[in-house]
Amino acid sequence: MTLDANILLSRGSFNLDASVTVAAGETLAVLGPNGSGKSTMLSVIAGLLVPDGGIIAVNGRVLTEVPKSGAGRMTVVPAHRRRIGLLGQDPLLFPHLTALDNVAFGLRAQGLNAAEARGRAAEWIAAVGMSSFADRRPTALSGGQQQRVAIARVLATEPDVLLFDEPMAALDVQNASLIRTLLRECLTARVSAGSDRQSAALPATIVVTHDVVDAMVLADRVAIVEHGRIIDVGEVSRVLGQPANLFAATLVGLNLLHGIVETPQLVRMPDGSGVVSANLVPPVGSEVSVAFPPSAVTVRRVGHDPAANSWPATVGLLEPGVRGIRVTFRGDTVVAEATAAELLEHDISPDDRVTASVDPAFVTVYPRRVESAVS
Amino acid sequence: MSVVRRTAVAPGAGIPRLLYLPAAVGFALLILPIIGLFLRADWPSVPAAIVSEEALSALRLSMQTALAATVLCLVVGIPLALVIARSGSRLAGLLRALTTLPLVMPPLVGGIALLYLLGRNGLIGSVLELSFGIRIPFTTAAVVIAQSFVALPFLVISVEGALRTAGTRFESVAATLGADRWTVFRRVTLPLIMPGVVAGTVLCFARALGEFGATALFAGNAAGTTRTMPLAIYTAFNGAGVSQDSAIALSLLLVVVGIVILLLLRSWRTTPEL
Repeated sequence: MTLDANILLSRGSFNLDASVTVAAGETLAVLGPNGSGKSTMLSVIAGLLVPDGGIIAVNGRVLTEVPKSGAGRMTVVPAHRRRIGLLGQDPLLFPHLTALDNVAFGLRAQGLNAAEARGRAAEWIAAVGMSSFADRRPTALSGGQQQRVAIARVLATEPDVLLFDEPMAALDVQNASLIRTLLRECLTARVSAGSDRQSAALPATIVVTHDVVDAMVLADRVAIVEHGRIIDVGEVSRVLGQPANLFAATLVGLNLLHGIVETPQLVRMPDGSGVVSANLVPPVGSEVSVAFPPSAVTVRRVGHDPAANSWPATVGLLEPGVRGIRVTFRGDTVVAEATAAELLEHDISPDDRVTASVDPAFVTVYPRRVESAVS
Repeated sequence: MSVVRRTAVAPGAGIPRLLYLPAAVGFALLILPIIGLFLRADWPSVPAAIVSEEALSALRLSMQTALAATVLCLVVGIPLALVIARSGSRLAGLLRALTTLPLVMPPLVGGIALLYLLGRNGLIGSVLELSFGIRIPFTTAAVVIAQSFVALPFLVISVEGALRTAGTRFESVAATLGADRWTVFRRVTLPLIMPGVVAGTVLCFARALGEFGATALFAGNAAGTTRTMPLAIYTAFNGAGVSQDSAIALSLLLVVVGIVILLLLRSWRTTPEL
């Protein structure tokens, strides 16, 4: 089932303008900062919100169509007839029903009789490893267990489109990892409770998240959303491995600069500084992105040498980093990372005037993708 | 959301001691009159007063009309609460204010209003009488209508509160699982607000059972058809050939019936694990 969505929506000063296509059996991760419009997108696709314009279709069947000019007919298929499943960070299990009856709920709504629905529900409960908790009320289950039941509940209805809205956000690290693994198994059809859907009938899936691990584990493609717009979309390895925007770069822990290739090794930045890379560089004259890990940046209290990939800087903050202490600089997006021992040895503290330099061996340079060129 | 645990708090912890005094006064205000009633009762004559044909007839009528009024309130009150709870804030505010109007109105005024609406010369009453030959005032139906008029706001307020607390998130989830609106209402909304519905039903029934003013004006005081317990007590107290002792006995009966019903509903309300 292929999902095509084109959504225009304005709420006060916030504007959402996004188009996505997700193929049958494919999973698209949507990454973006809080308030970027990710969840709003899902609500519109699920039919819980009516957009100001745009069209949403599954396999060509129009679910929402709002003409931009206001002229023409408006189509909004109600949520219960869209065959679109939604799983949020809160499991929202019906508190008055047992785990089994929660899973059977959607099947009952689809017209199965009580016995059939409970039979199918029992298979799904087993598929998510919750058989021994089937008769419990949600209040007697942990957060992770509730989310397992919620997954079984949404999958049991075999929706055409699956929407996951930060499904691991409310869980602790260990449970998040277990649920992530379960979702991966579900998406790769290893957990199916005996249903054998043809590949064209597999659901199109969107996972909204702010965790890069979710994208790496669950998704085939990634879209980066910022201020209601998709600023980059493509293969996970490309969008996150060769980030084109600061959000993606920060997410994967890379410094990102943009410039123009001046010589086969040197990239010139708009501010006049140059970065040398020891790696393969695109042709001279092309617009490129330059990425390097914070650990490739060294901070020293020595004189500035303009030739050697270095620049003068003022230390901003020292904060806990991934592999040591993270050093930020005043008025600069570049960050450095070093061990506490190294920073102590060179006596680096906030407000110090220092020289930062990058090891050319860790600098990667690749063609710059701009938003207008997003496929 | 993890498993709910209750933290043990020492009884009375956190309450300023000074507040125990007004709390005790308030409790006394509620309880002492009822104790006084029990003390004042002429116990040897109580059984006879209670099993008298007049008392039993009034009790039967009270139970029947209060039950009918409660059912009527449930049938129209839950949908009304749903409409208010799901309306925009301004419309909801207006509807809520109008719905609670009977609460701030003396029931007597409600009785007069009902009489002018449904009486022989009333707006609707004249039409009913001329077209269908139906007369409502001074019938048992009038008792039920008067009781519903004063009791409905209690049900609506409590159900609407429950609806607001429940929110619409579970309903949205149910819709994405393929449940149509009616199924969502029946299988999700109603069970979620059930504690509020039960609480509202208790208040509603209690209010209907004790209703006097609107009934007296709109339905009158005819033994067997409109003389409910409160009217029977009033009649007995004013001494239409009966002693005040029988008024007290009837009052005791009403109090006991009220307590029993409250306890029954309370135990039923606390049984489901929600």
